[in-house]
Amino acid sequence: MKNFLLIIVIGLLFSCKKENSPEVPPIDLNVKVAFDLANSGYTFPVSNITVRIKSLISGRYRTLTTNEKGLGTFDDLPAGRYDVDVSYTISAADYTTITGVIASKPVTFNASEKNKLVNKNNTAQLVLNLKSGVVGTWLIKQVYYAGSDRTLGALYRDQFIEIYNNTDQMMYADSLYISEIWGRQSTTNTTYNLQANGQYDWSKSLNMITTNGEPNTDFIYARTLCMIPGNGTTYPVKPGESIVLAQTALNHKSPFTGTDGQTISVRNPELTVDLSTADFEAYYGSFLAKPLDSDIDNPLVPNVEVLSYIGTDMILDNPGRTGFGIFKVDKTQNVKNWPMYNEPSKTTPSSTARKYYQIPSKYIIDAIEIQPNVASSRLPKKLGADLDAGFAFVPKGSYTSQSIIRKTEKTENGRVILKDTNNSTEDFDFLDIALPRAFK
Amino acid sequence: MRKLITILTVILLSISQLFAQRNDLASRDQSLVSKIYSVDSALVQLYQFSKENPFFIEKMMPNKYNNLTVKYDFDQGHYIPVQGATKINSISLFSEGKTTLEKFHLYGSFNYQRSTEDSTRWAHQSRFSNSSPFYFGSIKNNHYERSVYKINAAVSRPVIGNNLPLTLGLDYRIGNHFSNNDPRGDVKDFQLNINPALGYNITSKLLIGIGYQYGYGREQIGVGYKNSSYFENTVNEIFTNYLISGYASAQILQTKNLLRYDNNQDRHYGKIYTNYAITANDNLILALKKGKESQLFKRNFIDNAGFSEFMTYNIERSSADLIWHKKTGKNEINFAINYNYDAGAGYDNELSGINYINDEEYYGLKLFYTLKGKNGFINNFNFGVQHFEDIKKDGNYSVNISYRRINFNAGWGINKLLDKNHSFGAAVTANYSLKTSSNFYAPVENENVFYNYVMYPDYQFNTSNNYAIGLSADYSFPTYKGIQTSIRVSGNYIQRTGNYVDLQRTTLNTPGKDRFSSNISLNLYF
Repeated sequence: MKNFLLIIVIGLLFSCKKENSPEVPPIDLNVKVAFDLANSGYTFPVSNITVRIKSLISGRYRTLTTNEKGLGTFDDLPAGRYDVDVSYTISAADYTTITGVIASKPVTFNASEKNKLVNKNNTAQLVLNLKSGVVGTWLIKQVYYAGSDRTLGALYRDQFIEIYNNTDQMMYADSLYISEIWGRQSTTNTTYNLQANGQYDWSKSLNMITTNGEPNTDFIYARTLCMIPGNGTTYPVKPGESIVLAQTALNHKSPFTGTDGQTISVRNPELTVDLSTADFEAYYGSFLAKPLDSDIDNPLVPNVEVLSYIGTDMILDNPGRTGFGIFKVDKTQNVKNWPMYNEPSKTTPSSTARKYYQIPSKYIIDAIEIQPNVASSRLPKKLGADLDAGFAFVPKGSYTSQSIIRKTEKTENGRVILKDTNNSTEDFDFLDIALPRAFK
Repeated sequence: MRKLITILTVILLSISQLFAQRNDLASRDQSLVSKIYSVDSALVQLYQFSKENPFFIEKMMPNKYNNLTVKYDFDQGHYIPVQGATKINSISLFSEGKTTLEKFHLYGSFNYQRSTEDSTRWAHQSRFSNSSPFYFGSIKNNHYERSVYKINAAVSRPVIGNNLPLTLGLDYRIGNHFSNNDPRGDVKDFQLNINPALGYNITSKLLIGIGYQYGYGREQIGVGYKNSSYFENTVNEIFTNYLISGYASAQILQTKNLLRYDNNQDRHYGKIYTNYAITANDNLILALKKGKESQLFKRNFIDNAGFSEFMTYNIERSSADLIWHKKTGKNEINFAINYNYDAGAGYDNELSGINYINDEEYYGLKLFYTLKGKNGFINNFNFGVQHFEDIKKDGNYSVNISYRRINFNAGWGINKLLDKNHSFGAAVTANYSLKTSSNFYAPVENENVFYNYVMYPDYQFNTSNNYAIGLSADYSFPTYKGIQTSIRVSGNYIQRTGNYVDLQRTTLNTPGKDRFSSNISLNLYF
């Protein structure tokens, strides 16, 4: 019996409970805001700048205001991935005083760090270098890439892009180029050469020429590229007005007969848009033997000139993995002859592999980056902070009738001035049902 | 599956072989004995303990006990944790037998269960390891169908003049679980446990033994969509698939293709057994167990070039069971003190550290007393008190939630042997469960959908008080070749008392008021 009792005592000892605690406490993230002014010889104050951080898991925001050294700390952040954004506007008077350069309107600086991994091994101070970009004269105002419901709506037939004259001057859309910007489409595909941020390393593309600039920062790459026709004064656009480029310039709320003779009716017209009054359309039938059945040429709507395309119509990537850029060039440039490159695959691409136009960033008037609505599906940034420090997306995702639309900054003498800080996270909102020429 | 059928065939053949060796009279007597075993609640406790600890099958498990049961279960009600199901239909086939062949003591069982759950939420899991901190879930209720096969076999043989009992136990389980609505889950699992043990009679009264358990298992989990509109956008939020890791993080993860991961498990436990026989029918038993289960959550790369690891969840388990079992001609008593402590810690690869803690501690006592009266009248009494503590922590989100409960339960049952070997039994049980203390800390600034739909309502459920009552009745009679056949029905009703705690947060999925469980079974004893 003594032996038995001894074993009981040993058993009680070996079953002792202890207090356990996690090793992963929340993290303090230090940020520093600075101005990327190169060798300008002047500087701007870095205090009282608001930094915003958004959790990609909860979608919740926190903000802080920098001290006189441009420093701040986000306390007790759960480790994970975050989007960090700074957008700071200096008044025209202050800008002129500090720089000696006369500014007629406020100057906005942006910086961002997207999909930033914060964990205990990655707590180094986050430096956010503020850059000012080109303030757009033409602005991408609305992009309807999501399409509408597969069965009740018009699928992706009703996609469009709207471009806006944000100046107080008449401008001409003639020879305005519109591009869908290409980049990595999947984070699980490892067959490409990549930059540190995970985006394509275009410098590794076959036969890449680097003498004209750094391939990853001085250029963007276009999947679809088209140009507004005209002789230079054919398509005037008044201040505060816009042009709409439709995939197919039809009233998508009404039945139509496709090139295959089939009549298609949408079951819920409320989900789609009337593009019969679009200013331009992308008609592929003029150069493709078999365009998409719904690619019908509306004789009342001029067609854009298509320099590069994919598929059988101007179908925008509706998960939102691309971006859009608009540009104009001077007469010294022949865009058609600009170089095109393959994706930077690790293996040598075939001779028939698709190539993408290389567009110098210096010509870009406005650009926006699009990303999928679900954080875990997002891709490394394609555009630098000088073009778009952030990104935009429709919150519900594909086939939802939603579009991204640029916010209204103010109205002057009846003319709507749209927000343009070169940070689409700040500049864009969304419409639940896309609507050409709408404002928000 | 072929192995499964082979093992099943061996078990069933051995049982039928045993049965065929007996004449009708012997089998009739044995059937009655087996039936009487089944209504002796004190003995049943010892029997169940011996099944879980095969070291004792020789000394503590009644010989020649065979049983075949077909059972239908029906559970309904909203007084459940969030990851439960509001309605469950289940049918099961269970067979077991214990016999002796020369010096070999053999036990075998087979169990097949097929169940349907109408509303499984936030858990695409096999339900084998519910505390695992890595799984898919959605707001949308899933209709789940589950098929689980279990086979247990054990053999014990004394060697060197009955001084050195050798035991080997094997458990095998295979399960298939799927839901047929989006986001639809496809879960497969298997488990294999091997339990060798070696004993030694130190004295004529004291037997000690050591054992080792090695177990291996795997859950393969996949979630996908049939309706493309559910993964292409988040218009219908209820169909959104979330990846839950730890006890706070819920990340949207949905693609067209099936999302898959594996949970590979292995476990190693050391065991110590002791039996002090005061007399042949008066025994003290101690079983100690300590070891670790490790669960590795990973996904194989498509090109078989390796795998990516997400999390390693280690559970340090320790348990102690002390039992006093005494049998006299008129009564039988089984008194057990149990202690169980599982300390779970989840290492999150992305966070580079242990983020999740789940400590569960249980201790309690149970008393079963069987009084055998004249004319085959049996009274069964039982009483128990158990204390349970659960602590969940998510370091990354500063979540620290715990609760402690105490349960009181008591029961009384009778069984009367009638003419011509018929018998009738009935029992009533009562349970009261009381929260003794709790702690809730989860900063609201980190709140996400998991908080609203799982964390908050589960805290409400776990901190609520409840009572339960149960009734059962059993009628048995001899059938073919004297086999005792019994039909048993039982019902249990549990109801919350008082109101749920108000967290002053947006709480969805708040649990309901009550739940009803019932079953009916056909049991053959031979």
